[in-house]
Amino acid sequence: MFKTLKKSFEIDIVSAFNSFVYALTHNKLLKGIFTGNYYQKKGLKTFIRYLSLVLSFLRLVAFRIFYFGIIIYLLYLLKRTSCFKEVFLALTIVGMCLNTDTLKSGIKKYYNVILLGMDANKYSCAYIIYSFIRDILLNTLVMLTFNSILHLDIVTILLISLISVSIKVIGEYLNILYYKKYNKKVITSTFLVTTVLIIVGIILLLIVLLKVKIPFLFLFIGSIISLGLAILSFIKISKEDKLPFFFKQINSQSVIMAQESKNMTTREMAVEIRKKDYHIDPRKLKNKHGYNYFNTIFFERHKAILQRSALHFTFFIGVVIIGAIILILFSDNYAKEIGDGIIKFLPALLIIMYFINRGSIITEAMFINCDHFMLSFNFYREPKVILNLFKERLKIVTKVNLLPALVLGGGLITILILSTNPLSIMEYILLFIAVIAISVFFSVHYLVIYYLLQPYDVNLRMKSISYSIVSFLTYFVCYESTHYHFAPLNFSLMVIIAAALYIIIALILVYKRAYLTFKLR
Amino acid sequence: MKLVVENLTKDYGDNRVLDDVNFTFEEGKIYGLIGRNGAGKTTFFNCLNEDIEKTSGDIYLEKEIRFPLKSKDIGYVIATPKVPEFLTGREFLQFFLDINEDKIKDLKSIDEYLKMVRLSKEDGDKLMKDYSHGMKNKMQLLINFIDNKDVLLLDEPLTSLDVVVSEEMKTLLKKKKKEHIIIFSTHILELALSLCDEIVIINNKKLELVEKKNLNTTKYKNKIINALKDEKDV
Repeated sequence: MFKTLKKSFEIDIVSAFNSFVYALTHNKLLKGIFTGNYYQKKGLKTFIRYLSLVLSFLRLVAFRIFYFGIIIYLLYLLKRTSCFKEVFLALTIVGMCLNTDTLKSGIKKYYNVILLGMDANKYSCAYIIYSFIRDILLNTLVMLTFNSILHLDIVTILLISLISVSIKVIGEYLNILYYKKYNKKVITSTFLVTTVLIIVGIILLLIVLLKVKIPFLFLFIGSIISLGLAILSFIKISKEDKLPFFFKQINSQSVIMAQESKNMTTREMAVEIRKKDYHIDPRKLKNKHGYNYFNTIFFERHKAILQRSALHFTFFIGVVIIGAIILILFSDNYAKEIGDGIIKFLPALLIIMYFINRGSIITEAMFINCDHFMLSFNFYREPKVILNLFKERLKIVTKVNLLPALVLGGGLITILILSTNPLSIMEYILLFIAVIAISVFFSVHYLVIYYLLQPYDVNLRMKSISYSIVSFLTYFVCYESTHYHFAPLNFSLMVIIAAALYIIIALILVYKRAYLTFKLR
Repeated sequence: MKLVVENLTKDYGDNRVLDDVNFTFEEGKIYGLIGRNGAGKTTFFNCLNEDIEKTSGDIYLEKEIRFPLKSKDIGYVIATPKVPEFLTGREFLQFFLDINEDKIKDLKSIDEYLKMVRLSKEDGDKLMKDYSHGMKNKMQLLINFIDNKDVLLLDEPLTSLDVVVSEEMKTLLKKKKKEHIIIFSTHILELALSLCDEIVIINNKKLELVEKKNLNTTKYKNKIINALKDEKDV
């Protein structure tokens, strides 16, 4: 069993070493400095071995200090640091049910058990023993670190640590039993997760409200019982015939690959075509031709993230505006406050429109579901095609984003007219145009940076630092503008002129450069 | 029509993958491009297709006059088929036919095109997101066949197809070769021998024609394998 653990650690260290050397030799900034073959250097290997051990130990300690620190800090705020051991043990129940290791899929398990053929039972048991010892030591160490606040005696600390790690082992077995019966993990059952969280929540509330204290004797007996059950669970796990089969199911190549690209999968899920959008009303495609046909289908199949999402925002804005109007009609005080508030925080329109605009998610959908595939066809990369598609896309994206903007602009004007802040007709008109200009600006902006800085590579990874910087700057400018105050007329004029200039320059750039920049990295 | 490669060199950093490659491909022939793993077949295709920048050298298409080869002259079927998954097969074909209707000779109906690659009407109405690897490959091949570019680059295109479709594709390729230059990259020597008119190996960073002359298949096969072996293997 320990040979298995040793082998597994050796693989971890070799993997850490190889990743380090790969990063060193493939880093563009260090290009030319580290060019040799370092994979067989013994001295470097030993250094990385120790470095990786120290780093993983520090990582574990840091995480535990953070976890304990948060609990203690919250208890300190509630003036209940004396309830620490009870709260900690209650939280352990959450860990027992929802955070077990044996049935967690992972690349390490895939390599060791599936690829290299280690025994799944031995592997699991070795890790349980390792985690058991490691967690007792770390919990004790960290609790001692915080003991100037906790005031616990060393025996109590040891007993709490023992109970918490024993409960974790019991949890491992209970999870295997659940998987055996229902062929799914506890964590995937919404009912169980919610139940556990509600029960533990109630227990925590009672502990804090009633200052519940576990007597030492209970703690002592509890530790003996939990240790006994943990040993029993451990024996059961070591003999569980089905465990190798579960390992294969949970750590299959496809599962691991999906997990490895979790970020990508999350992004893909965000732009996934909903089943109800598969069917398109044939009337919508009647008389559509070429790029128009292609784009109509694209946007119809992505209704969920574009049209429907814009409608939801529009509805939400509508509700807020109607609410504000009712308040204004109900009381003059509210009318003044709301009117003054809007005038004072006009620049906040930028950040509101930033969040409402669908430009960012739709360009992501364009790449993941469409351009990523289409750019492998030469006909799709012709300058004429790129510009035609850009124009069609810009029309639709702008149109969809205009709906919430129209409601927001119209609503703002209505509120201002009804409130006690009379502006001139010109100011109302310009403010309305400014809202529309911001909406068009964002529609153009996201599409233009997508075409000019096409940020993804063939594997859908974000590769452009410029794109990240521009995205960050967009957010930063919108956010920072909320700190400034402008007269309505000045604000509207500034926004309209800036948006118009930006749109003109951006479109010229796309027309001149997009055929060079819009390609797979 | 000829595809002329002159002094083509491609480096990745310090690593030279193609070194002063000179070769002429002729119309009416299917060239089997064979090389060992990592020999540079895909790099060669990517250079032709302008997917990567070549370090030096020139690539021309020679008809009545000689002009630089551009990606618009090439149909490129990549090993991992990529088709827009938000469309059905039928919608994809419809779109493609719409935008190329003035260029396509002998325009057929969508069902006829689907039939060419043995895709049923029902398959045509499925989102390509739900297609198998082989079905996606068929769509990719079909689009490139309809597109009818002067040069057709095929990177391991038949390996994921079932035997029936694979045979039909081979027949289609043989028909296509008359007015095209087809370069077909594969690791399967038997496939190359059964389909291709010439075998070109990529070895020691260069392209080299393996002449058949009067050799029978077995001897020719051995000659190709020997040509691909380097000193370490001997």
